[in-house]
Amino acid sequence: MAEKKKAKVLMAKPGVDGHWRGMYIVTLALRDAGMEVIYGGNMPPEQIATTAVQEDVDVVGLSIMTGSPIILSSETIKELRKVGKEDVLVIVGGILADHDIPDLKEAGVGGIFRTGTPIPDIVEFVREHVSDAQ
Amino acid sequence: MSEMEKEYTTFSGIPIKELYTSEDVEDIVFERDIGTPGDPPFTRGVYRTMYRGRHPTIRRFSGVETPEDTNKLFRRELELGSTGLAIAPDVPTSTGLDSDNPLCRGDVGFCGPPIDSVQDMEIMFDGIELDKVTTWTYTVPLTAMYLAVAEKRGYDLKQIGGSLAAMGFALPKGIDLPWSMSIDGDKRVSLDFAEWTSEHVPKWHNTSVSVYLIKDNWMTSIQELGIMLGAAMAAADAWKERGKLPLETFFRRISFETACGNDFFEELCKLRAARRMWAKICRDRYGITDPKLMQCRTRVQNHGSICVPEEPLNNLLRCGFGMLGAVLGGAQSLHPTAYDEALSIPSDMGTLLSIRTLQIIYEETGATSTVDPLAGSYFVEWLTNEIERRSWDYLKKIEDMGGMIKAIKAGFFANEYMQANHDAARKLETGERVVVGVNKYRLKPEEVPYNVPVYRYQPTCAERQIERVKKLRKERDSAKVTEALQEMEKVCRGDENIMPSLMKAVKAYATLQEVCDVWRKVYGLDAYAKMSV
Repeated sequence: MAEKKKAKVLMAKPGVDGHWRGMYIVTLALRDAGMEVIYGGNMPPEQIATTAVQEDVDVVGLSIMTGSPIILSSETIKELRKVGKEDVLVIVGGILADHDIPDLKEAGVGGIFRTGTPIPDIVEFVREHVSDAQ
Repeated sequence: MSEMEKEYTTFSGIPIKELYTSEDVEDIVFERDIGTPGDPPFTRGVYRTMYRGRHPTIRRFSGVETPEDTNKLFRRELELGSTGLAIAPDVPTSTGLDSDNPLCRGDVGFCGPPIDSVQDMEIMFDGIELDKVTTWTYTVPLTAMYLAVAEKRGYDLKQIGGSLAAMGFALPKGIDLPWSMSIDGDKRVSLDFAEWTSEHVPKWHNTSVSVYLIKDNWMTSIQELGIMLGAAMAAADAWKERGKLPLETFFRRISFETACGNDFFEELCKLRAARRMWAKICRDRYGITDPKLMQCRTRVQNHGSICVPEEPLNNLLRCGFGMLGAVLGGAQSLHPTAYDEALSIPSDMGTLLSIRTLQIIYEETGATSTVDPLAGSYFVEWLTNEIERRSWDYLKKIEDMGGMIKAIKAGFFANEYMQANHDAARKLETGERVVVGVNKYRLKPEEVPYNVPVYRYQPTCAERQIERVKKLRKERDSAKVTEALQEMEKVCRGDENIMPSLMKAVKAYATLQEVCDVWRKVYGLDAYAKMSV
């Protein structure tokens, strides 16, 4: 198998909610799988976008628990587009209701991982999608 | 592995034997270690008659997207039989930020009501008799707003009771709080609040130590008790060091909040061990002699992380068993987490069933008919001892680091939190921790024969709230607000108690963030309130 570029991921939490656990566990899993992961913590959407540019990431992972998944994801995607990062894969994880799913897809979210998703599934998804793009 | 070879342990990793007999409890001296309920060391309960006198308070931590709807929810809960209230606001409010702060877009009203000023608090408690119900008001500024509403409605503050998550300065942060003030600032505010309320709102539990987040992050019962008692000691030491009021005043109103998981026996033994340990700390470390001041009164909620989205009604059973354990363990106030909290904030059905869980335990099971019915069980007494022994060891570890504050600053607990979450994720993946319907007996989604209603957020509530706070800023007497905030700052920089100036500011309709910003400015931000990897 040809050597592939290491996937680079920014994990962040848009908004002011501080429930960091999901973001932390996924960060470790992606790192253990050999990816380069930046743990951003709480960041407003603008900062997520500028960080994604500065760090030239392939993937932006958003962790959302107590905020509005739709508002926070679409604001972040809007900011990413503004800075020319429309090609980045945006994935969202957290407490997401059935009715959120179509809206998140519509907003441009590429991967949706609800509470209870086995962590290896997330790793596999990121790995596949990043290698697809290369 | 055969059943004989399998190692049995409690949730906290305490090895369990096949059988317990009188030999396992032969060191127990009945009067010294178990005794009678209502007497130190309170192993059997803090009150002599326990639940024959009164059932534990049904107090749900709840709130929905607007102050108006939360008012309706609170009234509904009281009609259904809740006997206490607890405010669960949105995240900007618990963080001390206003709804119109651009940082908060997407978070306003999402998991509870925004409370920007006394105006919102007035709406939330409209029509609720404040001398008939006790309320958990979460933070000091929210408590000030609640008390301001009570005064405005003509109540004597001496008739108002409640509690809050106090003494946060001595607790390791379980969630990131990048906008919280420094540990020193939190200490000043917590102690000033406790001293002021001791005199002016004497029924308030002003030093309530909450360790809910410890278990919620999958730490053990041992860590939970060690941290809870370590934090209470740090608070008592700080009170003593100030020397403004007698130490007895501190112990009179202290209470605790813990979380319970799924290990039935461990959870009930934990509460018994906690009471015995606290009584010993009061007596041996602080020289307290009045038994009434040694009572470890405890609130218990099922920790949310035991609830999973797969087959959500299973969570009803999980939380019900946990609550039965807490009742048998002798808790004073309870909150069964709603079965649907892994999907959203509770639906009406989630709220109803949560309240009904406790009512069925109280009224139908017979669990409240006699005091501490499990006392004397070889296993229960052995496990109570074992949890106590291990918790003393953990507490000693904290003491050896120089106490809670030093251990927090050294990053000890940040590491404990991460390790516990990491281990929990691994155990779930390997099946070492069984969660029915998740990693064992798992059904495909289409095989689950039911759906549950899920609470649905109305995004327009945020716009309405932002308009409301903007309108408030325009209409209030801004000179009065500015003056009150300046006075607050002056007092914060001096030695006077901060509470009178805080009360004045909130009554002038200063917003939550405006008062919190004074503290952030004077005391700085907490450098230890954020995780990093």
